[in-house]
Amino acid sequence: MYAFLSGITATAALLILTYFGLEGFTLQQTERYDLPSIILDQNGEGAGS
Amino acid sequence: MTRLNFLCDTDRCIECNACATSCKNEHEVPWGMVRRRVVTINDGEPGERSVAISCMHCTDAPCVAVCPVSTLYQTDLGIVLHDKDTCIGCGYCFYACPFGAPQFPRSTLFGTRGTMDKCTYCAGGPEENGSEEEFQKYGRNRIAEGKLPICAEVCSTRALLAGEADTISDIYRERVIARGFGSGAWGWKTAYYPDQDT
Amino acid sequence: MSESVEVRGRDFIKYRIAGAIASFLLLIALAWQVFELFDGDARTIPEVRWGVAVSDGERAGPADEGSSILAVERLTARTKLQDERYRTGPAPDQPAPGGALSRDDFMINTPMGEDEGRSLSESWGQYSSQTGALIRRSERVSGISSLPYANAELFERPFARDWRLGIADIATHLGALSIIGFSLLLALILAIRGRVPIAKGRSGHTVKRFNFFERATHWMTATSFLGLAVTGLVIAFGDTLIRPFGENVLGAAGWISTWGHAMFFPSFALGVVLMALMWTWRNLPSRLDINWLVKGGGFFSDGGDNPPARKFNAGQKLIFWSVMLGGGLMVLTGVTLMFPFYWLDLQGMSWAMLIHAIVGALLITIFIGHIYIGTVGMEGAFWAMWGGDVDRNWAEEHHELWLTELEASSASHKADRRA
Repeated sequence: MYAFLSGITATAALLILTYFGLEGFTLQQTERYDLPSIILDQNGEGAGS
Repeated sequence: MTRLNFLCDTDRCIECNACATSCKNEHEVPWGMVRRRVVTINDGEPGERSVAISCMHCTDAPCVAVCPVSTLYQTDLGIVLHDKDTCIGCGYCFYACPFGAPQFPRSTLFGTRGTMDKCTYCAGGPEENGSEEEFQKYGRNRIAEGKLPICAEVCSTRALLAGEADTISDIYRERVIARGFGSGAWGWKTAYYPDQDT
Repeated sequence: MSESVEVRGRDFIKYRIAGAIASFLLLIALAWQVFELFDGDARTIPEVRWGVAVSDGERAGPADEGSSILAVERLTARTKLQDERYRTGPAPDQPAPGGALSRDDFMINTPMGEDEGRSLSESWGQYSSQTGALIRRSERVSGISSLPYANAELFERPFARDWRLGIADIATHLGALSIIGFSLLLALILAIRGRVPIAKGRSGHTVKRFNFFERATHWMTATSFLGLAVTGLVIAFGDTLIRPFGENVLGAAGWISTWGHAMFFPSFALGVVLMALMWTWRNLPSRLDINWLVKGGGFFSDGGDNPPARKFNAGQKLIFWSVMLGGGLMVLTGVTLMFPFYWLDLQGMSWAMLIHAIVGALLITIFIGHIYIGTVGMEGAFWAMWGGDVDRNWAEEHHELWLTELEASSASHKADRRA
């Protein structure tokens, strides 16, 4: 049983690390696309990236 | 019943990009994205042709077929619209479109793209027609006002035609007869298998 | 050697009843899926109707047929303005074109019925021979564009249509058929054959099969795979399976799955690498495997005289290599999809997406088999991965050569210590 628990703990730990590694914080924002408010530079990169 | 179409007469297109510019202005499309673009084939050689392309609003639209969350939907006039509130940015519509119409505003970490945007035939989206929310998300809704897409209405040479299908094919056919050359419409149906009985 | 069989596979009545119920439900699902293949509703059809709100000063309902026709009339009149001036106007003897509708009179949208939508879409597909003469054949067309973004110069690429068939028909239907079909097969086996028993019954003595690290790695990989599988299935089949529960539920599930899918990747990839390091040596093919496969692993006989195997039999080796090759391919295509156009062009990205979807569905099918045999399918198998110890009779019946080498080495250790 302890092997199973450590397996899922390891999964959860990596999941959490990935969440912060990805733009995890942007998960808080809504993905609503406001046309006039998004600023992109000429290469198509987002201003916040 | 009939439907609406785009048709670009490549014998008339002068690559002025008025269509692309007026579309961007009318709908406040952000930098780095264009809903309509002009492509020039055989540039500088005999047989040079320019054609304006946005979304073809296809019959049996492939983008609608592959969307996993039903963001894309079609209307009874043939116009394919999309709902930004349900889009998950998976990009399937982009892979399925032969014309590269769906575009994504962000190019950021790990392939996140933001929500899809594409030509709406100046027909807005699922919000109430003519409302402020609709304009913020999808741009101007000209069809609701009884007008046609701005790209065609500003075309300097009337190369780009938009509107009811039979009418514009009549217009084009009359032109071909009048000038005596030029067939092979760069319009609808090039997205399908013409040899197949549909 | 013929030995008495004390426990028969068919003795596990409760398991067999569960298998029978599962078979029945899966058969219904399979029949429905096969029906879906042939009922021809894969075509995109319009779902929303345009209509005028006001006509001749009177409010017209959008459900009223007339209001749609009026919308078309209005737009047709506007279309004619694009014709040559000498044929249209403005000219004193031509009718004046209509101005824009005022805000109160904007056209409106309402939902429309499926049958009407289908007949509309099919009518658009018919065209006259005059129109046919105007049509250009489809081919890949690329030129130049003054716009500075990727692929702007590409006008048309017919491969996209094949991609649509690949994802909406092949990946979706093949995936559903293989998952449901294979699950049905397993449920029938459980119902009819029962479980694979420990023929001589449990001895009460155990042998150590997998150590802590092996088991923890397995469970980490398994949990990650389940996370990836569920999120992937929501993306692939959510529109069919979840939409009946409401659009909001589908929206939330779809959104969580899109982000969640990428987040399970590191633990899965790490698990696969660790498994490769731990188990590749013992999973290399040997001549024993051919014999084992030819005899079907002794799966359908209850007796203990199964074809001999070492620590991993041929079936397990097939699972191992499915993980290494299939899982490796999934990780490779998945990472490619996370970094669009980093090392592949548009054609390559399209293939990466298709391979990811199809191989994913096949892997899920294979692992349903693995989960089956490791839990209900075989008595005594689950404990190998849970506590790590297996019953000695189980080891003798299914991994005879491994048991021999294990007991020989522990006997020689005892002999060494005494000496």
